[in-house]
Amino acid sequence: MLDFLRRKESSKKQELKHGLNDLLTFMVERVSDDKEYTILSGKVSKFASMSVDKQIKSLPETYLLIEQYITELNSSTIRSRDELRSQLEERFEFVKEIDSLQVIFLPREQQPIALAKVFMTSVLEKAYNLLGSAGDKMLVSLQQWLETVPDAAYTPIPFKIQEELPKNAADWYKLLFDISHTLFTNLELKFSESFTGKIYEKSYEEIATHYKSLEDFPMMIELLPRKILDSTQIDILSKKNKENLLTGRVESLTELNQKITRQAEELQAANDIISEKNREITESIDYAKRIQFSMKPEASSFRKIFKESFIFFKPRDIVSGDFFWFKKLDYKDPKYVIAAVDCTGHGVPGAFMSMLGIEHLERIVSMRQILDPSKIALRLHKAIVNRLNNEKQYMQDGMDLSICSINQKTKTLEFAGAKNSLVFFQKGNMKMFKGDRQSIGEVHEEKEPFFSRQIVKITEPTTCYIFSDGYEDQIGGKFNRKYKRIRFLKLLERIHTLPMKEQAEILERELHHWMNPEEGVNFQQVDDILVMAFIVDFK
Amino acid sequence: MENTKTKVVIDPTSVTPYVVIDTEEDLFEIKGRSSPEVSINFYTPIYEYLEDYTSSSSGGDFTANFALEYFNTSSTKCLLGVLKRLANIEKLGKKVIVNWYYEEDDEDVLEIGEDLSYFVDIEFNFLPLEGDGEDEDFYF
Repeated sequence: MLDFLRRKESSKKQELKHGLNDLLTFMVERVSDDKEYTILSGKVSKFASMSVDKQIKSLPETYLLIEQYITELNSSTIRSRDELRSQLEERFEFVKEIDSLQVIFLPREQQPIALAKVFMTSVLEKAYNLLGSAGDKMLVSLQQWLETVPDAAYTPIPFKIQEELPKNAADWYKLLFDISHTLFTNLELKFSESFTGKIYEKSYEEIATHYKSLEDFPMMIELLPRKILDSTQIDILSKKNKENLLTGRVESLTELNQKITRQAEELQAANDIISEKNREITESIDYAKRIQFSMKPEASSFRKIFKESFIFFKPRDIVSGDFFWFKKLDYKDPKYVIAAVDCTGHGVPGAFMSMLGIEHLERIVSMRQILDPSKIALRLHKAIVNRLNNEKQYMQDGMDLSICSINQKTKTLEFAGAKNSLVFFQKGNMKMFKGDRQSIGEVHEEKEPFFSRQIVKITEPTTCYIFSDGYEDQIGGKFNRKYKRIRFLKLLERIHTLPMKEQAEILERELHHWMNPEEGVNFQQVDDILVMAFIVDFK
Repeated sequence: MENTKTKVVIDPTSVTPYVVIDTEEDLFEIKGRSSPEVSINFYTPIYEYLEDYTSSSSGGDFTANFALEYFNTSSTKCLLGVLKRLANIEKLGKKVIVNWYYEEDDEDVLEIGEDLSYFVDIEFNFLPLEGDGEDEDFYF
């Protein structure tokens, strides 16, 4: 019979042990940081290896430590103590049966009240046992009253310490401390001072074992009457407890601190590497920019050729996939070739393509003296295809462009385009030559590449615009939209009679406002932007 | 071979479009903006899903809705890759219809659609959309 009971008892303990291990494991699994997880898992396995009695003793401490990690380090899915506590209560029914956890789960201001109750109950129990079954009416009624504290407490208050029940937590602490002191005086009469002192000391030790990690635990020293606090024995005890408590907190804080410092150091190191890499990359791209700029004609010399002109050029990154190119060819009669080119991609890949483009334009126009824009486009196409396709790379690289060839003697402007267009104004009338729907470098099995030549007679001053699609494709505005070609053409129509310098300023301002339409709303540049404008006038 | 039916939804980012490949419903959809740095990386898995398509027994057409507002040049080339795979679905004996949506005043998107339609043997419908908000005047 007894054996059966013992077995039953032990299986219940076993069940509790499993429950506690599950509870702590559940908590640790909320931690997402690997290192913290490892540290805490270690603590849980250590806990799991203890006997169940020892587990119950060290449960509050272990629980509070893990809880601190979870709620203070921001590396878990749980953000607050209350959230964690309510999840645990919901999930693990048995926590309601574990007194120590119930105290811990109370709101903080309720905790000292609960601790005082636990303490006094323990004192009363010890006194009761010593006084024998007859007990003492005072002890029983005090115990009964204590059980109702604080919510259902009634008057009269034991020892008639005060008339009315306390109204707030702080007053409750004070009352309970006073009751504890009065109880001490009463017990002193039944036992002796030193004996009563021992009872108090023992009970204090008990609550200390369980709850010393609670933030407000130091307040519990007030439960002990000053008289015994002064005695060396208790002083040492309380001091020791205080020290324990403090060392415990300091240790766990130091551990946390070290962890945070270590993480910060690691982050800093990673940051340093990134900054260093970034610096190196930026430096080398800056250098690439210098090379790109040295290959490209200078924008300022464009104004020497066309007095009324501008180049509005805004690379998205340091180097650019858009580029402009122009050449004045001097024979008997001056001839000019102007190109606005948009290479696939931007940044470094675009810049590589632009190098190839510039190089081939130089060869075709300057060296081979080919001036017909449709032939220039076709030659460029073949050169790019040979260059890139022969190496059997995946081909998605090419360029869209507008080429103008101006002949002063014949007073003509010839245009060819790959996807891109020429917009020009004569006497306020806007006209557009659309380029062919064939990109430079784009290969189709069925279709021979061809670029048509379109001609403008320069009978009067003609304001010309060639451009990449960067401006019209820019996302922005109040409705988060593409600027669109139609709007861009209307913009050109609106401003084309203004002095060139002013036009460039308007393009800049319009774009800026488009990308920053409202306070706090900013759009990133989508692509490289290039607009070339020039007036051809042969008077 | 097993006739696997899948529905794949790719959520949009600031540089990639919203994509649905629903072989149960015989539907392909692509919407939004496409300007990734390396477009082929984004489109390769889409190619693969379309290549895995095996014609369903149901009688209906395969519908492909293209409603892109902005796409960079490399994305255009990848869209051709998508269309070529749709053309292969048509070769399996499934009628494919491409609905190419464009904002009514965005001739750029319309033209690219027209260009792409020349390269594949599938039916294209060009469908203008009304803009849902326009910036009236210039900003400068």
